[in-house]
Amino acid sequence: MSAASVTTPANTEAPAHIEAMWGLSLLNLCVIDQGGHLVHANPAMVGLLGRSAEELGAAPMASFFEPEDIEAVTVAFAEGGQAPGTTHEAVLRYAHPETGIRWLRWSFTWSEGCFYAAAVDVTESRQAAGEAATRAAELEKLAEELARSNAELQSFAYTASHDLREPLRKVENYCQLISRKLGDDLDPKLEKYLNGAVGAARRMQAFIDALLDYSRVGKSEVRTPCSLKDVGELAVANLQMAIADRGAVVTVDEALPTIHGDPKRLEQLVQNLVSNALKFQKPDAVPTVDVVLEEVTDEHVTVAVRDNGIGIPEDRIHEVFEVFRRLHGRGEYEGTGIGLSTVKRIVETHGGRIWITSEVDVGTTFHFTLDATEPVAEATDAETDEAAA
Amino acid sequence: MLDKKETPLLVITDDDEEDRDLMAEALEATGCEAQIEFAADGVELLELLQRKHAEGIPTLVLLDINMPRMNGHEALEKLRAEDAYRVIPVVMLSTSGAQNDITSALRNGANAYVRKPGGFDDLVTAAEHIANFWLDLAERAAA
Repeated sequence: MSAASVTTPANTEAPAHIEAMWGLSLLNLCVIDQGGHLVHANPAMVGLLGRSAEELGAAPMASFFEPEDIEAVTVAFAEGGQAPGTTHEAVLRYAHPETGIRWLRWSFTWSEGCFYAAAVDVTESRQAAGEAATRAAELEKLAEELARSNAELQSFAYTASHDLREPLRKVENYCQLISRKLGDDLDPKLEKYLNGAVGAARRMQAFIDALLDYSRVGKSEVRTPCSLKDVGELAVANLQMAIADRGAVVTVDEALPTIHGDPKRLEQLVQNLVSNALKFQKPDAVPTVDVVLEEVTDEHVTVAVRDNGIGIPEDRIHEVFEVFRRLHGRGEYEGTGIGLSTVKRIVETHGGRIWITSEVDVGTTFHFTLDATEPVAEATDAETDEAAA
Repeated sequence: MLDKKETPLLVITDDDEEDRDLMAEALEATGCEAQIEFAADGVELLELLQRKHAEGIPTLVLLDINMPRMNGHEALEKLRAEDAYRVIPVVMLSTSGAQNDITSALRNGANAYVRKPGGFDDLVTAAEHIANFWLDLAERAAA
């Protein structure tokens, strides 16, 4: 067997222009003999394979490939040899002396006792495809985990709504039954204690309900066009009693636009923020709360709920949205400590974010953005999972 | 039959023993003098009806929904499919406020749906309504 040459195709007296093309070609070309040895390779192919023509010609081509692919190389070329004149393709792993494993896509044909072959390095697209596959697998795993945790949350929600409420109902019932049975024998102290137990049970009930509601934000919610002005006005109307009690002045900006969202949740969002603002007021001032439009862009609407209340110290602002976090004792300001966490989740499920600016003794402003773009048409199945108990 | 005319028979069907007792207490608090029997689920209710058949049918059945063996919906269907029991007034009494529970109870022939209240005072109010309306109605019918 002749030593491999890098100049002309095998057994041919190539015309000068063919020889020039062979040398110039950016394509990686070679000729392999019947025994599987490389006999000619153009400079591009020598560059691709990273071995000299002599080195390549010294052993069967298959031996330069990954051990796992050697059989595939042999089979591919054997099949190619049985069908002369037709083009065959194979992607095989070549062991490059410097850069390690390279994926090469081969295209070859058998003609007159030789294989004429071209190869392209497809390692990068292979790796990208491999990474994409890995990422897809990871995503799928994440989706599975999410589905499982959602299912767990659902069963937690059922437990919360039924099993946790049930004993509280009993506590309330028995306390009231005792006070009935005692009738006139019930001394004021005992009555106070029983009422205390009933009050505690009811607070726990409210707490469970709020937590349950929090856990449901973002689940199977509707997206319909809703006027933020209407939503704001509804929220304020719901708080009429509290507003009157505190002699507060609450305004809703006429300029608030219409966006796509869940009207019930957006109403709850504004209502919780206004109710929060009404709660943390200075005793000596007329409470004012303004729901105002701050900015409209193609992507987002920014709304602010501004009050003249007690304000939040800067170092505690980050605690405001934590579930269960109360910045004040229950005696001072009532509430479950879940309302603002629910607010944050509602904003996030509407593609927005929420932040606070505040000054102690001057007031607090909750700013939030909401996605203002049209939602992608998507079938949403409205779920009717009312608190079954 | 004689017995029934004098004191109405009321069956409280609930798997929760505490709830059965509380309801009986609430009925007693209203001054209702019905004879009260208990059943822990749909199966026990049907057995009780069969056993009592000779004396007559109950004046009123209170039926919880979530119960083992045979739940309230299934028990109600069985009652309404049986000629002898079809006319018994049934009041569903459940903690569930789920629309599908209410709808299917009424569709299956419940005469009323009462959600179990949180406190005993409210339970007495519910018992008052039940006793005044359904037991009174039965008394008038018998008179």
